[in-house]
Amino acid sequence: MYYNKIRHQWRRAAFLALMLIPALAAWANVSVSFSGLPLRKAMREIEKVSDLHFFYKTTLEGLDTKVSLSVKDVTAKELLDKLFASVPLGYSLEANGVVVVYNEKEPVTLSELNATASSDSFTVTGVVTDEADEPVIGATVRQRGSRNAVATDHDGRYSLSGIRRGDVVEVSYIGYEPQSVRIASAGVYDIRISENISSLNEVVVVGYGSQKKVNLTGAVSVIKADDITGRPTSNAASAIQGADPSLNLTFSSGGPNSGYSVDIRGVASINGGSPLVLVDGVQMDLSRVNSNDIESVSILKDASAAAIYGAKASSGVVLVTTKSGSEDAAPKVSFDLKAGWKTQTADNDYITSGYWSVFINDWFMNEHSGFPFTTYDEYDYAELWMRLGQDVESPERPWAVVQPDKSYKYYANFDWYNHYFKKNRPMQDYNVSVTGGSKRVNYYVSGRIYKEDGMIRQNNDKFESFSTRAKLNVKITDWLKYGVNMSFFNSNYHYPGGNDIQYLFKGSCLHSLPYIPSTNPDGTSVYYNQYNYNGSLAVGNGLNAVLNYGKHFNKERNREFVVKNDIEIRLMKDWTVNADYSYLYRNYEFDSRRVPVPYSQYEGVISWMDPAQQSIARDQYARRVTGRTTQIYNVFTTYSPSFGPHNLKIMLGLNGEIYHNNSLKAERYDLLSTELSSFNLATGEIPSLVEDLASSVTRGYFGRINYDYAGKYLFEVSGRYDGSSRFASSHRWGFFPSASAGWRLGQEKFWEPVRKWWTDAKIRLSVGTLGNQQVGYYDYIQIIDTSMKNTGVTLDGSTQLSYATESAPVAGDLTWEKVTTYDVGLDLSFFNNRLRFTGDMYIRDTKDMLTNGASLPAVYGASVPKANCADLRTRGWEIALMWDDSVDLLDSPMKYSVSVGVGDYVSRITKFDNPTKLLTDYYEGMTLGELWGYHIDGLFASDEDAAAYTVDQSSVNSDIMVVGPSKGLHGGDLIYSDLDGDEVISIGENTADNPGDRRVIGNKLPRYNYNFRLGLEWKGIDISAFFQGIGRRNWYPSTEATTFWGPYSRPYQAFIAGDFLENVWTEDNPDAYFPRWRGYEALGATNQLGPANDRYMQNLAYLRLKNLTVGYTIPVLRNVFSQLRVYFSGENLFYWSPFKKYCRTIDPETAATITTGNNYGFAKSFTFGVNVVF
Amino acid sequence: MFKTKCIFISLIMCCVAFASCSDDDNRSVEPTFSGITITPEKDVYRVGDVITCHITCLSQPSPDIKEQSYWWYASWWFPDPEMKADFQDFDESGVNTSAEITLTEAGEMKIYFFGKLDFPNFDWRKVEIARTVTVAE
Repeated sequence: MYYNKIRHQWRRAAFLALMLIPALAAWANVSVSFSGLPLRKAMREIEKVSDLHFFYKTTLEGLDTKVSLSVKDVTAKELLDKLFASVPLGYSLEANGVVVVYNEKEPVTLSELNATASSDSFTVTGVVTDEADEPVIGATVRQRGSRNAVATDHDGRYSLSGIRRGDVVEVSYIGYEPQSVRIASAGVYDIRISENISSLNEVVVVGYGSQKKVNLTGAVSVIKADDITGRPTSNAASAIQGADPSLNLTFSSGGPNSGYSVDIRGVASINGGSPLVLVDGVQMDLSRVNSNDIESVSILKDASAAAIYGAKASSGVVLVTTKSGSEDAAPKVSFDLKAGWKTQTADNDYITSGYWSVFINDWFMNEHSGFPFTTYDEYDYAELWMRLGQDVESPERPWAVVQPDKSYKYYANFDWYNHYFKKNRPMQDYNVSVTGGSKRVNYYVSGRIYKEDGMIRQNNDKFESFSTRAKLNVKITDWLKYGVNMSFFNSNYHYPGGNDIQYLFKGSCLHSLPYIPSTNPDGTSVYYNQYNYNGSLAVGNGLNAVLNYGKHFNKERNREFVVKNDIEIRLMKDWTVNADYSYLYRNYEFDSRRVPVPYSQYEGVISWMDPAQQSIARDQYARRVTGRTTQIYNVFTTYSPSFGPHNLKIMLGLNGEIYHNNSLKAERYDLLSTELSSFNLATGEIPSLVEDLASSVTRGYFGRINYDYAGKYLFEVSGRYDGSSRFASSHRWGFFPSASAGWRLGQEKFWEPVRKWWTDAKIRLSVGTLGNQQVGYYDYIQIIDTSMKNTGVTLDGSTQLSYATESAPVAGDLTWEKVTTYDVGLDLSFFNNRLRFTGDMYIRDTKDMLTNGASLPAVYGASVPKANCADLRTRGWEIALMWDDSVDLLDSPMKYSVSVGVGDYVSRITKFDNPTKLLTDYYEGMTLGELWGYHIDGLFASDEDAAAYTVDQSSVNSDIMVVGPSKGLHGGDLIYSDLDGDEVISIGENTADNPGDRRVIGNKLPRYNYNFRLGLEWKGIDISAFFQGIGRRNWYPSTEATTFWGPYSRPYQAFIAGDFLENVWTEDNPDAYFPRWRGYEALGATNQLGPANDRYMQNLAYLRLKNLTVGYTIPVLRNVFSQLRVYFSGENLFYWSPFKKYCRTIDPETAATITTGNNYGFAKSFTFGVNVVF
Repeated sequence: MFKTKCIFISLIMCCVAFASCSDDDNRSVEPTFSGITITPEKDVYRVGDVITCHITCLSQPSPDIKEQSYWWYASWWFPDPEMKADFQDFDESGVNTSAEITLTEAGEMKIYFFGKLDFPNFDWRKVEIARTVTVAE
């Protein structure tokens, strides 16, 4: 009830915010002062400082009457009354600030004024030239507000018909400023366009301010709104994945509520750490941000760019800036509605034949254990064979046959994958935004509803989110600005089964063999089946019965409310002071209910799952509630004077953050009802009641000085003095400086000869040090944990004693990890900025990483305290190449763009206290992510070959040498290569210097991140394609990667790929990929498929068509809509990967996130949408 | 025009030739069988009648066959846990004869002859030949 109240209050707050902003926008009193101006000019002056727009006949008498006016904070009507008091003209004030001026004797209306405008169209011609009077070929000449456009010819000439008096003709050309001309009559209009200096003036958001892109000296990438908006993704995190090669964003699964990890240029520390993500200056989770709200994303990659954020920015910074209203802009309402469906990216063509499922699993189990998985004899096999190809049960050949003892024997062809999971799942996405502004007030309001069905078919999981944002900026006076920015996010995710949704993907495929159906003929669920493995293996580990019963539920709710107030005071022309205060409240709730679950093993007998065997069937209610508040304040001042060619910018400020976390988790057994879930109904044991409290405070003082000489020589120095409560008071504060410099060669005189084609060039150098405070809140002190229960010791014979434990000792001098980055960059542009190149090379040194300190004698009695004693060095590079141009196609201009980005890095340990280089830990010289393994020389061609092999490989054949009827090496077994020549396959001393027969066979970190985009616009059609991929990433399937190994892991595996048998070695199939049939060979770490080796090492490189959008702007109803566009947008439509050669059922990104490969799979989506703006 | 037609026809011929070259050229050959004959032959049988079924192998499978097994079955046996497949081999004259089958239920009943053929590389093929008999009370 309490939480319901809170929820309603939030909704009210969000609603009020939405209502408030348009009301405030209407508030716009006017102040203006002039003297002796002709009325015509006076009206223009008023238009500049207000929302008023004057309409009148140009032939109207009295427009040149001189008027004077001086008013302050008056309403529009008061102003107009005073203005027209001294002239013989009348006015009428219409909606939207339209003022119709007329002769009082001949009043006119706005529609009459419009009607008098000429309706005859004519043709205009002319030549488009550049600043040097050279004709511009291929420039687009367009009638504003329509798609009537032509391209200039080889002489720069154009001829545009269908023009009416008063129309505006616009000229645009890549690399040049657009130019427009108002047409008064038919005739010749020669138009000169000048080089686009706005591209030179492109502003990039950086820490506590913005900077011209050309003046940047740090490594900063920008992702623009166009690259994000409109994509059918559930949140901003999905939308920016792959958009920049330095940004590695990995989702933990393909589920609709999936978390993600992100790093910039790889991880900065072996202890992890992620970039600081700031949304309008507030640290937030990208998955809570509506991608349609985003104006731009700046990725601050090097220490120079990120230094202003000090201790939180050691892994880089992602600055997300949301959209705002524009000054003096008419209200614009935009709807973006799309709907479609999602489906798995990976193949799910599994064997659904009961016969083959029994045959394969019996075969693999028998070869290993000497007995089959089922107890089926040749007559049962015949029953299965006779039903082969029968996808649907027929009355003649039932799938369950009741035996004389009333037990069920199954002969089904049950498609378990499609029983558990849906192939297609619908999604809907509704976006609306309103934006506009006057001279003093501008606003942006948006809302979004997103709904998505999950892939679980039984008790379908459903995700829905609602978000809204409201931004208002008010120019209170000429020297004072106020802004408020509020956002609210709410998401609900309901899913069935146990509280670990990922377990559903692993557990469901165990023992759910296609020969067993989900339900018995009387509708009861199948759980145990006595005709396999002594009847002890539960179908889907109990998940089948749980999902069929449908009373388990899990509900996750995330809510986030952010409000930010900021003011800007302009003390002098070049001196401003900014202050802001943000309050962020995050709430997470999780409800989970489990109930006793019925099943039937004998006809007419209902049994209940035993909680002692399946904890998922324990009657239990659990609830977790977490509330987090973060308060952030910033005060900073910026002084930016210029002295001739010397430009200076000094910024000083302070930042503080106060964080509180309060979470409560409670569980209780045995409720009085299976329909109602409340602790008030629970009567059983309380297995868990835990409260977690944490707080932290950070404070920082920062400063930055930028200097440039005539825009050629650029210098920047910044620093931050940071304090964090996460360290002991004596080691709490740290200073993190950085410096950078740039030289714009393109601005030098000696560049003149090449400037015509080589527009600009800039060299950048930077160095800086940042701290890493991403350690536990209380790592610097020892903690006493009192939550220990179930000791097994009682005093009264029933109540178990609780006890407390003290955490391991900590080093007294624990302090910041320090990250120093050296970066050299090159920015080039050619052909009037049509071709652009950006490249960076960097070295990042991470010093004093937290790890276990030097070994201590065993008598110490506790684990070794952590200390700052390991170093890491990362070397990397990134390049990006972009081309924008326009060509004439079928007499219409076609704009197109191509961009390519590639990046790579390698991290090596440069210091670690592991002198023997044991491979069980980090060691000096180790490449992060490296995988050690054996070399495989192939498979034995025959039993004779296996017998003749003299190398002892028992250490990797521990199972095969001693277990089962086919024990010992045979044809089809793996030949481990004896690299060290000692006739024994071994791990040696398990050190880097003596690894035995192993070597580095791959690396699990992604290499060569790349992307490329293609864009095209022509005759209202727009096409964009975004490809993204990685060049290399290795994965060795873990012992539990059952979807990859199939029955080689567990010989009771449900999801076996349809082409599985083609890859199994037999004498008929000697070139097969997998070895001879034998179960459990991948399950044990020392079984022949368990140790990593280069034969089964997978390359997860992929190229993915991340997004394809095809849109068409319909040229109708232009008087109603300023844009009416329909489009198709597909996400993750195709992927190509070498991994597909032997495994089509796991997406390479899924494999990268979980070693078992069993996870909520990644999805592709197909959506159709309409975008309406008016 | 004539030239265009020639090119078009040539293209179609190439496509047909290409499509007709399939992997199935090297596919193992299955045996062929006659229909099921029943002793005694009747238009309508009575519940309690005992019959014997026969089928003749008309052509042998290709020699690469690894294993083959055949059995007789009746439609009313499927839900009956007591009734099992009647495995029978072909005799020297190429005839496969069932054990005696007692007709226990009235109606349109089916007598099945099933086969399981095992060729190399997991190329397993199913044989299913049926004959419907009318059984009266």
